[in-house]
Amino acid sequence: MQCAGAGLAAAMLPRTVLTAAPAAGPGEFRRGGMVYRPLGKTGMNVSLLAFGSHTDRAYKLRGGIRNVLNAEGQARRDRQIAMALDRGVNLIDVYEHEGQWEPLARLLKPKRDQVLVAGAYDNPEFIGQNIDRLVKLYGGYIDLYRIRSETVTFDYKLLEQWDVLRRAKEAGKIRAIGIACHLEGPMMTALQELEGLDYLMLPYNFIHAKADYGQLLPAAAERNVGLIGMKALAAGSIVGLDPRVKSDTNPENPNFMLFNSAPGSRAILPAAVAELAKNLKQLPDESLPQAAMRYVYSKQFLSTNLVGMTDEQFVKDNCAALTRYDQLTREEHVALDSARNLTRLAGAGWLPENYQWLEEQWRA
Amino acid sequence: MARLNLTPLAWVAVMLMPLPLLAQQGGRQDLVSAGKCARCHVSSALEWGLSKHSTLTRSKSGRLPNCLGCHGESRDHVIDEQNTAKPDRMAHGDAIATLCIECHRHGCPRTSDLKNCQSCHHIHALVNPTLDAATIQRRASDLAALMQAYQGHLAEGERLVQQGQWEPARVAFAAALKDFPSSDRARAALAMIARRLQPGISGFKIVGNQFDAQSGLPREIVMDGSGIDLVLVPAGSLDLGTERRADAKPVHTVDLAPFYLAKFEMTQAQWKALTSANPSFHQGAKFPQADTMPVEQISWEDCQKMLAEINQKVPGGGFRLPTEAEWEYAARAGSTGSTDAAKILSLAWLRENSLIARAAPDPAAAPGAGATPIPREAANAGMAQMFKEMQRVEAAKLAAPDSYAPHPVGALQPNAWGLYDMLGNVSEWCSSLYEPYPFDAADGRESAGAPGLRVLRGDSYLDSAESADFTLRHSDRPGRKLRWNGVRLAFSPPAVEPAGRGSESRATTKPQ
Repeated sequence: MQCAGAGLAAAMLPRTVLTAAPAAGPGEFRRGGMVYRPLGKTGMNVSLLAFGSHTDRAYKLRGGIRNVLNAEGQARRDRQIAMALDRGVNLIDVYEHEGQWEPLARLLKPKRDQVLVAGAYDNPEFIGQNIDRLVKLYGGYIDLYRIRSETVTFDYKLLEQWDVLRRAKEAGKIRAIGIACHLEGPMMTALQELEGLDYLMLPYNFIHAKADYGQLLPAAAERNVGLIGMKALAAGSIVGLDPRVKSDTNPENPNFMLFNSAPGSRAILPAAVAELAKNLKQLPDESLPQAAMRYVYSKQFLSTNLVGMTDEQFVKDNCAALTRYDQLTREEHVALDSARNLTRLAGAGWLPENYQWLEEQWRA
Repeated sequence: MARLNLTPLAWVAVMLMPLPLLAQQGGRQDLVSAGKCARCHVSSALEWGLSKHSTLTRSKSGRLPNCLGCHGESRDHVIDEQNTAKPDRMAHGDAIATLCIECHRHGCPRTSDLKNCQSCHHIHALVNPTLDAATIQRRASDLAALMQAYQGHLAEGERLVQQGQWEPARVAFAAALKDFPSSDRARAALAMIARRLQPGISGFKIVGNQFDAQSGLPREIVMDGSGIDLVLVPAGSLDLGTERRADAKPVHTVDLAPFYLAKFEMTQAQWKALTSANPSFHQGAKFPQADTMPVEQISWEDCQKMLAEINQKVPGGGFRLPTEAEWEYAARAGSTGSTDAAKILSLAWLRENSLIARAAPDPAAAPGAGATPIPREAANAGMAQMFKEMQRVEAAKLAAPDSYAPHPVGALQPNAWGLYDMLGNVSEWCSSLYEPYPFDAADGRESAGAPGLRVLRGDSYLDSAESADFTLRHSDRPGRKLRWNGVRLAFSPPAVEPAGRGSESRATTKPQ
């Protein structure tokens, strides 16, 4: 979300507000520039913006294990996390294959009690080991841990995975256990079948907001299960819809950077693109991704939004969007509508191949 | 306020008479409760014990004027060693008179006062102020004399038991019972003697020649024809739970009657013999010792069906699952502290000693390892160790997808009461619903038909030694069957008539 003029200035100009500001949700509070909400019944308050586990591909080691950062990349990563923590982010996700367990543990050591750490794994035989290694690295406990599955098939394998998590929680190794899934149906089943479910991670952004119209949100609210939003920027693809985005921001699908002059990029659907460009001009002090972030921030049912941030500017912009997070202006709504329309016309091709499930499963 | 005008000797006699003894006189629950209250509130309970209120078994208002009647059950207060939890009800001022006039509706017979009961009557010493001191003293002296005779008979009976003279001991305890017809102690002694005179339990063989001194039950029995070996868990009390975990506190005392618990977790062969099926995940060619490994992948509901089968083979039935209080009591085997981590792996199959198919120790030998050499840059950045660990874990996953498994039962050391694998190997279903503590077997949590999660205890081969703990409460839906959940049988010994005659009946402590 690199945008000239975007950032803190976003809060300065008066805006036309569509509706009255919704009241803050129960337990929500602001400290400094960050807003915090309770995560279901866990007793934990989480920052509305959480730091995702994905690392920058441009800095990954060549010839080695694919997800480990080189020294420069690691230094950049450490700076990004330090900046996020300074801005009040208190939840950091750390997925094993990103190779960030040890570096993050070193970084958090002096302030472990001020930061919530989330982990994930998927093999029941080794979840126990995985948790124990994390627990040793992170001061004797891990705050959030989830089963990570793209589809989640409800068989005894999954129930066994869940049983291992429950046992680890009972033993005091994990504070909250959850499930991340790409499909709504299995999430509903998870709510009904998984004892002690503390939170769900669901894909949610202004384009993929199908959850608004289903049974998932009421069912989660009824059970006081916390909801963590993911894919707030559709795996970075929403970034590529804004002409003011810097060319080196490395979105997942560079071919669909509408205004990118890089070879291989293409402008499609000229009328829809022109419409979006016109409406984006009405947001001179913020980027489309910032409006997209405000959209998810404004959803009271989401306790937090886990966003991959591979550049310090991303951290700044996502935090800056929080200066006015609880309502969207008419101009923002119009811009988001035109972006939503453009992506609908474009079909699933605007997303990278491995994220097209978002279009198939979650488009509203 | 009325005062007891007793001679010092009578006071000594009264003070020597513990409230549990009063309880034995009548066998009444309110007196037993008073005994509990008397642990701290000695004078209040004694004063109440000498009043007419203590003799009442019913009242006009429906509420008895005793500890529970006036103060409520006060569970939190009873178990609160810090004395911060107040009783459920504490009447003050006029509210005290409100309690009195529930029965004394016309107020004081002497003054007709409806408000100021305490101007004459002490709040607990409700002795009629018109009684003369001699009457009160005589009442105390009679009780003291009766107690002396009773205790003499008990002591004589116990001396004879020590000498193995069962019949004379029976006579002495019978005399004690005659002194106090509701004496639980005399009754228990007579039951013990009856058992010693006829030690056999129908459907079982006695193993060895050891008997429990308290109950007279054989220490170990084996079910005829099944090989199911059961160890007696003696009567006693347990400080159940721990303050370390939210669902296992408060720590509270639970009294338990003697019961039998299987020496080993039920094996696959035993389950198959009873149900003609073996649902276990760990069987087949890969596990040649499967018959002696614990049955697993069974649900709580499967266990109920199995219990119905096995109880048909024993006269009067009696097999059941242990309650979670019984399980923890047996697992601790008299120890009060937490699990000794240093010794745990000599007692329990846990993750650290249950890896049956080890992954290639050398990461380079693991499949695919050669494709991911440690890059020079990573080594320079001090990340070589992390690479190695990631490679080791990945190699382990590739080499051994199902590498952890339970072991044959009884292969490690038993606990102090002779029970094997109480921790580790497989988790064991208990009869109890997973309900908040304090544990009370009579509050519905032992109801077999009630919906809800059922308790599992004892960790499994996938749990780590550092977190293994007797107090850890796990639970699952009664229909769920996972490959680390198994079962250990409990058995309620048949109750006997105190005199050793008459028909046997099942112990009343058996869960519903």
